[in-house]
Amino acid sequence: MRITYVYPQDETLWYGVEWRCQVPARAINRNGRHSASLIPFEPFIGRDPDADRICERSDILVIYRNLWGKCLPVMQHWMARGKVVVADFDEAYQLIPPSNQEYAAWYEGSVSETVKGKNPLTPITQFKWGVQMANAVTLPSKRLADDWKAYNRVEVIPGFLDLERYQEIDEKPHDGIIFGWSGKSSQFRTLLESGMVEALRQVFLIRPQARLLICSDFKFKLDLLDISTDQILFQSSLGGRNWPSPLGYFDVGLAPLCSDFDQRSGTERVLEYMALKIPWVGSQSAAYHELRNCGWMVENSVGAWQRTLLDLVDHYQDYKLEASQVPYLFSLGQSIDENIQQVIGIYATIIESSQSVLKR
Amino acid sequence: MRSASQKQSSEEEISRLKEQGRQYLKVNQVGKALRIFSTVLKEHPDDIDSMLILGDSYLMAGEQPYALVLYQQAYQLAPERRDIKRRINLLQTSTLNFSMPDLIPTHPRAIADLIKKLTGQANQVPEIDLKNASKLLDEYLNSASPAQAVADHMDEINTLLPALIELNIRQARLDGNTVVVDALQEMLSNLLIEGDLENGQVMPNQHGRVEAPQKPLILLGGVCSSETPYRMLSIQQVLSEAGFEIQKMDLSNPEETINWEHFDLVVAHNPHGSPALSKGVASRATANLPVLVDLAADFSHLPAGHPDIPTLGLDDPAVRRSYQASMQLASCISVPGEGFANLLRQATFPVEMIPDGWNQYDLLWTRANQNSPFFNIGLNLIPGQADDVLTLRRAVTRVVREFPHTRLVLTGDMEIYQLFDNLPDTRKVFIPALELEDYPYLLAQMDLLLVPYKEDEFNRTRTDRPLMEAGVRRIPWIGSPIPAHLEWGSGGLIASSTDEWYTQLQTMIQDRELRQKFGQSGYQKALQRENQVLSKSWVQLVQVLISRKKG
Repeated sequence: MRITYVYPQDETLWYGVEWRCQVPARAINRNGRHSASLIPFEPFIGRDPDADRICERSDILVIYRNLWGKCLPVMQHWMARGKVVVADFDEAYQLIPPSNQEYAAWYEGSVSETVKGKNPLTPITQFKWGVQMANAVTLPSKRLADDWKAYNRVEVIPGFLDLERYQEIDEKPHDGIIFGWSGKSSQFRTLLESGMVEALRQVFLIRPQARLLICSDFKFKLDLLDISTDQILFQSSLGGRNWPSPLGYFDVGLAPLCSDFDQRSGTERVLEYMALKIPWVGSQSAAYHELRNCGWMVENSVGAWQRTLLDLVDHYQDYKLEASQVPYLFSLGQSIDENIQQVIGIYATIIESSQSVLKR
Repeated sequence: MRSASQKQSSEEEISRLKEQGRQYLKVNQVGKALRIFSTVLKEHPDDIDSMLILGDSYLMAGEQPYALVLYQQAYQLAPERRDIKRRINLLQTSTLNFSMPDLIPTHPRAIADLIKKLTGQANQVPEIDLKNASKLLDEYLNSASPAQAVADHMDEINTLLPALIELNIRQARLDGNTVVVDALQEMLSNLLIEGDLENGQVMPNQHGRVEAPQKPLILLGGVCSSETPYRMLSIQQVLSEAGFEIQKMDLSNPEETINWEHFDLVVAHNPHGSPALSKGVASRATANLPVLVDLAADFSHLPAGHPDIPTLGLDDPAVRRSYQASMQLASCISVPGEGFANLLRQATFPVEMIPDGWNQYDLLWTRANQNSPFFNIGLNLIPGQADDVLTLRRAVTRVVREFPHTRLVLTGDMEIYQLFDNLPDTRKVFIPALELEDYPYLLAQMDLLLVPYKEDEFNRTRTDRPLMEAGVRRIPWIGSPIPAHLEWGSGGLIASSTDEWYTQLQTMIQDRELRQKFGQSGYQKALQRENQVLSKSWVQLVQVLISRKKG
């Protein structure tokens, strides 16, 4: 089977591209029984001859996220030529709250080149068309899959770890305890609304050796967290540069989830913690339900977060030891190389059902 | 054991024969080509090219079992060939049940039937030869001395031998003697192949390559209309396959200097949309040279919002004058629908109605629909048709709500998509405009096509093209009672009021057998619109016009 992943080059989207496209493509090629290619969006929608050649040779095209504009007729072009097209994405764009900075782009933007004529519709509307046009949809979380199953056939392909990349990371020596969080700047509100930041402020007052390291795409929102500057650190993760190396500084991983949008998240962030034997604290949520024995879940209240974070600082070695046992072993089972046949099997089933005899 | 030189010579022979077969295909001499490829395959059973050409031809003729046998044989020989695998997949996904064919695919009777289906020619030899042969036989049978009669007509018998065999085949068929039919058919096929190879119009040139005879030169140009998006392409394909040399006019280069008198014929598609082409029509007419003006629609009645208005609308007086002048100056006007043709006839213009066709060799028309979890109700419209949809909007909304497995699939006009705002996003999808080459795939995403037209002057002249397209894709349709729909009459139902739309929609959604029946009858009807069938009308019209120049 020849699989081609089509991905956006926007630097703020690198994390999703890495997990949904780059990681499986590397594993497929390592495995050797099948082959995978990667094409950036621009040559794909621009019908660049090299991109066309790759698509022509492919059995299945997995298009990540940007299902609007010129992507839609190009999808149709390849479907007309017998290619199976899968839409893949990893966030609940249909539930983006207006407070999220991506809301405007999805709900107020327009993609005029898609449809000539009046009132070209917003990206979210066109995205739904793209989801419906595809042969199937692959998503990392069951909750997200439930939301979209009314639109099309949906398959869950969880985010699997490319373990090789984590085995190379060493713990970076430092003083005190570093709580680490990584994510997009559009998720900053979750830090505040979950009660986690307020809890951290209180913990930092009584445990001055503790600090917070934010790994994100933009620094400008740090002020909103209102944490003393000597207890907050920032590491840019724009474009995925050096990732996952900064995780070497994390003593404790933070994984707050708050809104309906967050509840559809995959488990990638916490899998990274587990692969590096980092103890982590997350919000009690459906998204982490299956990992409840691998981390420490808290309700989204300042008190609950504070109690757990304080305990982690005070008994860090116990938590560290525990993180190196069950959670670490669980993460090994989530290796992409262990699971690549499952991914291929899902693609094969999609191809088979897409080409099966018509119901007419 | 064959020596290397014998093998090389044999390969050269196959290669020469196949090249000749391909040349015959290029000049649309399908019968001759298929006879050559079947001969190659009989003598060289591992020749994959011949297997595929014959297989594709059987597929086009609707003889899937024969096609599958050939594809599978080819696949066994070349399992690495994905194109062959795709053909097999295509067949297996688009055909419910296969039975083994009665004959082997290269059997003379199977090949004769195949040629008959593809070319529409009942006879393998010219009708005139059959008449002469029949006369000769009568003479022979009634002669007092048959031996003398044969001796007297020996040369004639040689010439008419294929026709004489064809007459004997007919008699054997009437007698029900299939053994004799097969033996005679084989003899006839061999004779025809010999004739094709010895006397064919496709002969080797000095470089050892084969080429077609001198072709009449036609200039084709024009401005595409949303009413007939692929008509100009069809004209080009049909005429070039029929052996004419087509030169396309580059309208994007207005500076291009054209010697209008150089061509045997100019075919101008909607010429009023291009000042350069309008001038060309005028200069041809001035020089008393033939020009065929092909009009996609009655542009004098384009409704408001029609997408052709900016390029082909007659609001600009200069364009209107150009439109009228090109009709006045045309040697003949060809149009795709009878309604418009009648209007022009009433105005005493010389008119030929040649409907839009489809190309069976464009696999996008015949590629199986991809499986969908929904029953997709299709509205394939162009901008400006929002008013046409008003009659059925409530009916469609109601059935989509009542039948949870249905979904509305809209194309072309965003405004129409917005008319269905009251349907949830999960139950409707809009497919943006596709490139012309991808157009046939639009309907592959629909299980039922709705073709609503309100009652007005322009719609009365609209053509049956959407119904033909539904037929090609074997999907049923429901349409408004415009004359073209009533005339087409196959593969669907007519609805005029909202209640009728609702009732017909319900029927179609619930009755799978009826849908299949309509799909089949629509397909049979659409076969009459395949480009090779329409080719006869185009070729005849073009030949008449060219002969005027020569005359």
